[in-house]
Amino acid sequence: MPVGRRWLLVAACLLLAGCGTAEDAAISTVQDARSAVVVAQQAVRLRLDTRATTPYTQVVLDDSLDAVGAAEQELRDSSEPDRARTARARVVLNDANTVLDELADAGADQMSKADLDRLTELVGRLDAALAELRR
Amino acid sequence: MTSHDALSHPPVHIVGQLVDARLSLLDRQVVDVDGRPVGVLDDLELTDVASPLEPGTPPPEVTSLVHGPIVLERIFGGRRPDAHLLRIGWDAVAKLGPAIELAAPASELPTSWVESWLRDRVIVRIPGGRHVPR
Amino acid sequence: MKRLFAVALGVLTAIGGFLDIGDLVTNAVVGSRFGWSLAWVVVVGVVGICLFAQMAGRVAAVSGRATFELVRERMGPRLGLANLAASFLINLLTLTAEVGGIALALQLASSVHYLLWVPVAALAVWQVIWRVGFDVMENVTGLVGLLLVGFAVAFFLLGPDWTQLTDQLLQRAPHGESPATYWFYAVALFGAALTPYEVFFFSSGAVEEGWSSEDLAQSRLNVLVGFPLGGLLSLAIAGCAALTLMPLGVEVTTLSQVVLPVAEAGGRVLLIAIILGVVAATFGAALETTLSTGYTLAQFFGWSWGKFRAPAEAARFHITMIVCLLVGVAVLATGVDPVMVTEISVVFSAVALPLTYLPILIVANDPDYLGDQVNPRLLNIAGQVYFVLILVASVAAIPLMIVTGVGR
Repeated sequence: MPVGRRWLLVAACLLLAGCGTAEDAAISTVQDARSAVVVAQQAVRLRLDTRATTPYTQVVLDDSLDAVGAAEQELRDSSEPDRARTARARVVLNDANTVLDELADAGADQMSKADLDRLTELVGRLDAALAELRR
Repeated sequence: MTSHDALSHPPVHIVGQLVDARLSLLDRQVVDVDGRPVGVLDDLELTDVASPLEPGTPPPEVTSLVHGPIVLERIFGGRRPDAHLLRIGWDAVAKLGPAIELAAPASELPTSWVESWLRDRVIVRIPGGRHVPR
Repeated sequence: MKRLFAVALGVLTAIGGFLDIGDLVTNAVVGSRFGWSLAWVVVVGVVGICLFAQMAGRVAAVSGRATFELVRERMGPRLGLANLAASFLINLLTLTAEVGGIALALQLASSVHYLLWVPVAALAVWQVIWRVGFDVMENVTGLVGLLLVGFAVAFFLLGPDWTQLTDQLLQRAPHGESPATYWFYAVALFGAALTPYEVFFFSSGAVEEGWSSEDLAQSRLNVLVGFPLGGLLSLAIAGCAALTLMPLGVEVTTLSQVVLPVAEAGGRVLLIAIILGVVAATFGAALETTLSTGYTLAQFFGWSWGKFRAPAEAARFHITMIVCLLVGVAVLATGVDPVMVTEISVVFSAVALPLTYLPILIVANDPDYLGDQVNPRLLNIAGQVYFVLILVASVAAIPLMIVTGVGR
């Protein structure tokens, strides 16, 4: 294959990749964090109902914390032009990180009704932020 | 390819079975009398033919099967020292089929030094290396 | 009675052995995002693996030749080596994903970080290969893997909304994803159902167990009953995710999320059973992929191979497997997400499929190898239709992966 044609192919692939990922970083990162927090909320609920084991709940909390951390990193790396939107997303991601960090540190065996309420309230805040960002 | 080769000139009477070496011998598995893989056939060695060729010269005969670490040379070119090749005499061949079956056990055939080195230096030194998994 | 037991055992291990980390993750991801909209791909994939596996098994049983011996014989050294390189690397990727899967499952059971489990899992896989016989290995991992039937139990306990699932099945339900993403996951699901290592392993296993023409009926039964039942479990996994995670707006990204619906439906007992089942299924698949790294290289280069020999009788075969396990551990030690490795491995599996499928299809028609056991006409037509399907999936896989950014 001539070199020119090969470069053309690479360029076409990059172009396609660019089109595919042209998504709003503020929305997508808050969405990822919301997904992680919802799972943590469900796991804590199941743990309080004694339907999930302690180690399992702990892993979910740790996984969710990792996912929120990854979302924050992604937001920092993104080239989102709108400062206000980025700031809005950063605040709510930071909230999520704080809550999950505290719960994961406390341990799955220490979960209480209050912790579940905290997570439920956090999901509400993430939903509100998403609605705002989508406007 | 029996010792009575069909490709010779002038035509000779074919005794036995006609085998296309490229299609049915090359790159076939060679297995010993117990069905243990010995190698994959990379080449055949023939007897020398006088040059220039006189009419009535007897056709060349296959003397040995050649295998060994030469598949990369076959693909990318180059030449291995003769000593690296492993040869099995044609008279050791028992049957040609989906594999080339030999009449001898693998222990009586030349083995690759890599295999014996790895076996003696690594595998048998790990506990359980000599036992069949049960 | 003994005969009946052997038949049942074969079918049960085929069910337990059908699912691996690729099926678990891909079905849950697809279920949480598309519901049952892609269930048809599971059906197409299961029919494909049945065709493919029984053809490879028949070739191996009748001619005694396993897949990569045929690849070299039929494609010649040059094309054969290219095929070997591609198949081997993709198999290594799958091996890495499976070892990561064992570690993740053990993490779910213990809450000890998975990176600490990775070397333990790899060591255990190697010890089983080194010391345990083929039959015992197959039967134990297959039977414990049957605990994954818990996904079907969970599915029914969740009280499936059949009208909604049927709507998804018949493509009447909007899923809010782009067509490219839809087709990307179609290819991924296809690759998860038809992973090439299953064929390397199936044909080499037939040689390991010394199958002859008389064992063909049993092998056909294992495949034709066991694999479709395994496929139903795939649908149950997708269904569980569709029923619990989709309404919550959760897109599966971790193994802990894959099993969340099970805790919801069945509580701790079912959760523990499923986690054990996941350990067994990924462990079984890790054994199969590790053996496949040895099988492919040994068969291509004509080395002595087989678990029925002492390691000293197949030195290069065993060294290959040890090195590949170490490579897998090294890749996981970089901290790369095993779920991501899994998602990429199923896509590349789809890419590599024609490479192993074509030689088997050709040899299954060659009376020099199979005598009167060549493909019957109808099977041949089905085989060729599938070859076209596999080719299309293979060509489409990488462009779709790039366009969708691995399904994001």
